[in-house]
Amino acid sequence: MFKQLSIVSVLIVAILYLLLFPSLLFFLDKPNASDLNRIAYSIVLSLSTATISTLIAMLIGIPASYALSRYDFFGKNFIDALLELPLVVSPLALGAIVLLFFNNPIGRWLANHGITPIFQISGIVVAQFITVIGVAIRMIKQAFDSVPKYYENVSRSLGANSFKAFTTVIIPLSKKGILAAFMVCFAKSIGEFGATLMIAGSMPFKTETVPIGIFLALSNANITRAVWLIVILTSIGLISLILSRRIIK
Amino acid sequence: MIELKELSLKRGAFKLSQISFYIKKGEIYLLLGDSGSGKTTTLELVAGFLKPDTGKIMIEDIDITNLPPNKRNIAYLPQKMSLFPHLSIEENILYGTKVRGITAEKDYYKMLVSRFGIEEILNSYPDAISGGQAQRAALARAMIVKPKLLLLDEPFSALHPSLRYELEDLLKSIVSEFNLRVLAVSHDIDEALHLANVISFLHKGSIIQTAKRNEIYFRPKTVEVARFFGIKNLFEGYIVASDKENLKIETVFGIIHAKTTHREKKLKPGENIIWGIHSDEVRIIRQEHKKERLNRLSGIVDNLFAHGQYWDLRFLYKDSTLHIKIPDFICERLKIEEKKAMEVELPPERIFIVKLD
Repeated sequence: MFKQLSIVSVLIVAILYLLLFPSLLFFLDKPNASDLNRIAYSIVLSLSTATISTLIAMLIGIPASYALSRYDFFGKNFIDALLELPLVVSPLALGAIVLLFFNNPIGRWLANHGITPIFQISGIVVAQFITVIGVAIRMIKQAFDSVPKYYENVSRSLGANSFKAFTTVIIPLSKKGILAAFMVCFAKSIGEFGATLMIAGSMPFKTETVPIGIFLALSNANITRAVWLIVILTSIGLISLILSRRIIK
Repeated sequence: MIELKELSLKRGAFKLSQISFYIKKGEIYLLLGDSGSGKTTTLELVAGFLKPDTGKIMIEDIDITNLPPNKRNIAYLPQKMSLFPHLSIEENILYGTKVRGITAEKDYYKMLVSRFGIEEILNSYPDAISGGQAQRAALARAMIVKPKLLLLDEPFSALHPSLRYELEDLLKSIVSEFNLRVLAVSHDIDEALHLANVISFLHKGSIIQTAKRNEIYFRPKTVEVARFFGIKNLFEGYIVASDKENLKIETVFGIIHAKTTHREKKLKPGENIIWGIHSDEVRIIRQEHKKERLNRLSGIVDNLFAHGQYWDLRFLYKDSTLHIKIPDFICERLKIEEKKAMEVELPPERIFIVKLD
């Protein structure tokens, strides 16, 4: 009985999604030239900023995850909990924190020296980065945790220094987990909206990422552009999820 | 020579205290003990994965205590199959030379591959070979860097006994052939007795006894060591008389005679002791054998329990029980049955003494 009930629950969720997505087709119309330009701009901007923010998240996330996975240090548990914050706090609030930071004395000093992401394309990267770094570290740490410590010990005893042991044993053995983390972070970056709206704003042809584009299109009642952007966003997300699942397998 | 000098380490509630020993060339030195006794911690200290609070580790008079693992030239072989799964067997074997930026000596490499019988699997990956082949390859990988010491953390414990003995024999011949030094740890008595030249018994972070394998097995120094070796025949007694060669002990079995070894020379009459004998060292005397013997006891067979090809016989003498291990064929030949009378002898040279503190 429980088995049947649980399967029915899964089917309800599947039916819900299957009803929602095809409904987009009713509104799928041929976009005009101006819409096409804006859609293309949004796609290029989203892909490039998501690539940059994901690469930065990997660059910082890989050593950070390794430290959390392998070493004991002061404040480790606190930092570990802090990294969960972006997973539970609304991206809008996170973005607002960054916005307010650049309005405090330190932020203003930075802005006076040309360092500010507010209403800039760099703000999109910052917004995407702060929302995905927690996910990246969580996923990569899990990959590192699954590599038994003795492989590293054997490598070190055979003459590898810590960095060589890391690059020749740990990274190859957790490659799948790292690639999956990259795909998930990339998809999450592309879909990032709340923090981007707060930090970079919603300026057409400047900070108009795909999600911001959907927001602007719906605000102007341009359903065709909105639907195209939704279809593109959903497709990128789906492809990323499928790829990350394949990688993990 | 490799020497550990009074190594100590405290980690949480666990404390490793004053660990000292040395390993000579061509010797397999084994740390034996239960889990939590400190044997793996000692191995990790020697490998350089942990730093001791106090003490020194010397290799050929050079202090390596503060050197990182990659600078010690000590090869480590953990319990689980430790071949890197993303590398072929050949790449695994040559890993040590590759990370050191040196080229492996071709003749030495070929000789190792042939000595370990792994020529056929060089292009295979670890998931496609057997457990025995994996351990052979792991040993070859450890030896390619010509280590000054080989550390083995229960390397064969997960293997089938027949394969385990084969690999242990191979290791012993390799150690003697290459004049290697090996430090192994194990909780397995069979593995320890089959593999080691010298055994140190660790208990709660301290070495309780260090001796050659026969001595530690037949003459355990403490009750903990005796119990670890599965000795059930441990009894209280006190010394009635002692001289250079013999001891007389008052026991629940009456007066028992024992031979004096260097350890028991200091025992004096009136001292309380624990004495014991291995269950397979108790001799059964045929009824028709009338010759006068020391430590001859007459009692009854209380119980018989089958243990594979052996029987665990509980021999009842007055109110005290002796455990006797006898092979199946002897049990049959002597027609031993429960509740029947039987005579046994405790050979004086097989009785060991544990002095009470």
